[in-house]
Amino acid sequence: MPDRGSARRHPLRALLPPLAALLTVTACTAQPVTSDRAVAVSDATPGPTTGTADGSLDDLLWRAEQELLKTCMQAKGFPFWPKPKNPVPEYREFPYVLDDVGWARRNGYGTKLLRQLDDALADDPNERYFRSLPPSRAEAAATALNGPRLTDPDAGLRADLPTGGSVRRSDQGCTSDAERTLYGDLPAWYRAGHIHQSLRSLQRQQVLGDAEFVAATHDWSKCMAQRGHRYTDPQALRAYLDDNRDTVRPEQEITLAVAEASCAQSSGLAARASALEGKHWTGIRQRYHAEIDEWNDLRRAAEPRATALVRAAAASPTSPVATATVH
Amino acid sequence: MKIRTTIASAALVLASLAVPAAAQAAPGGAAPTGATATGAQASPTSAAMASTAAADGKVYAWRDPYRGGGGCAWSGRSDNWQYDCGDMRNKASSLENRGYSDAVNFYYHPNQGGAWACLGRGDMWLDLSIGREIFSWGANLDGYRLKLDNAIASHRWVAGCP
Repeated sequence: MPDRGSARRHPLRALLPPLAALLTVTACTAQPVTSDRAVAVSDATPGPTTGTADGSLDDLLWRAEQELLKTCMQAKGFPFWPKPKNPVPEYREFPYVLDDVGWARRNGYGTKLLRQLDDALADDPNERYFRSLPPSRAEAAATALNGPRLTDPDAGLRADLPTGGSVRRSDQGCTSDAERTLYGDLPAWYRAGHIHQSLRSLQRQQVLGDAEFVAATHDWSKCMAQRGHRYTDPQALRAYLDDNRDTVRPEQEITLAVAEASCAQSSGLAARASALEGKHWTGIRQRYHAEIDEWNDLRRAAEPRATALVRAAAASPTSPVATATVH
Repeated sequence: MKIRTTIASAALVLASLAVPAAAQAAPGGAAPTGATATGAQASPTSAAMASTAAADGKVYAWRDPYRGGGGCAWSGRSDNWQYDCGDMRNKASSLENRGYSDAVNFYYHPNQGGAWACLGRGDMWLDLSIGREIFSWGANLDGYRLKLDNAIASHRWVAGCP
C-alpha cells in the first residue's frame, strides 16, 4: 500500500481490528473524523454469527456507502456527515446468552448503553441538520436521501422474506443511488440484503429451539440457582427484566448480568450456543443457498469499489457542507 | 387491480376528510431538540394529515393497510402508542419508515419491551393484515413470532437493522 504520509489515517486501518477514536463533529463545517470501530454485535450490526469473518467487510461497505451518500447529497445541495455504523461501540447484543463477564460487570444488560444509543442517534449531525430545516426544505432533503414517496404498488423495490411478508422501498434518491453504485444490481441487492437479515433471525430462532441448547440451559439454570437466582433459561431472565424495568436497580441488573455470564461459561451454554450457530447456519445456507450466494457475490463484487471509495475519501477529505463548486 | 383500487380509494377518503385537530400539534415547524428526541415523542402527528404530506423524517403507522384509516407519525421515540394520536396501540396495519437516516424497531410491549421487528430506512410494510410480517427479533420474549398486525405497542430508532 502506498504510504499516505500526511493523511489523517491510513485507509487500511479501517480494515484492522479496532482502535478507539471518537467521532467528533464540532461545528457544521468541521470535518468528521471517522473512527476505527470495534466490531460489536448489536441491534445494528450483522455480527460474526454467520460463520464468515465478515465484520471488517461490513464496516468497509458501510463506510463506502456513507461516502457515496455524502457525494450524492452534496451534488443535490445538502450537507451529509458520514454516520458511524456503531454510534455506541460498547453496545452489544447477546442473542442467546450474555457470555462476557467483563462486559456484564461494566454494563449489566446494557440499559444505560441503550439510552446512550437513543441520544447518539438523536444527536447525529444529519438528524440535527434535518430538524433545523423548515418543512419544505426538510421534505426536499428527505426526498433527496430516500427518494419520493412510493405510491405505485408495482414500482420500487420489493423483497419477499423467508420469515414472512414483503418489504418495499423507493428505488430513487441517494440511498438507492449509492447502493446501485456499490452493488450494481439494486433490486437484487435489496432482496439479498433483506433476505439475509431475515435468515439471521431464523438462525436465532433455530438455535434457541434446538434441544441441545435447551439441555444446556438446564446446567446454566442450576448454576444460577446456586447463586440465588431462579430462571429456567436466559430468555426467562430477560423477560423478567423487561417486565420489571422500573424496579430493578442498576446494581441488581449488574449482579444478574454477571451471574448470567459466569454461568454461561462454566455451564458450557456459551460454547453450546456458539456451536449451534454454526450448525444452523450451515442448514440455512443449504436450504437458501441461492439467496445467500447472491448476498455473498454482491458483497464480494462491491469490495474493490468500496475500498477505492474509502481510500479516495481518506486521501482527499472534503467538508460535509455542500459547496458551490461540486465536481 | 385490487391493490391500485385500494390505494386510490384510501387516498380519496383521506382527501375528503377534514383534517382533525390532533391533541398534540407540531405538523412540521419547530424542530425538537436532541434532548426532546431522546424522550418519548411529545407531539406525534395525526397521520390522516401526514399521509398526504411528503417526506418529513417520521415513522408512520396507519390503522388500515396501504396507509388507510388514519394513524400517527413520530419524529422521536414512543414508549407507549396508547397515548398517541388517540391510541394507536395494537392498531397498526401498515407502517412506513420515512425517518431521515435511521431504522426503527417496533415492539410488542410498551417501553420497548418484548419481541420486536426492524424496519430499515425508507422501508415499508404496506399490508400487515395478511399476517405474514412478525416480531422476528427477541427470541422467546413476549410476542416472539406473533404477527405485527394490530400488535405494536412502542417503538424506538436504531442505527440499522441486524
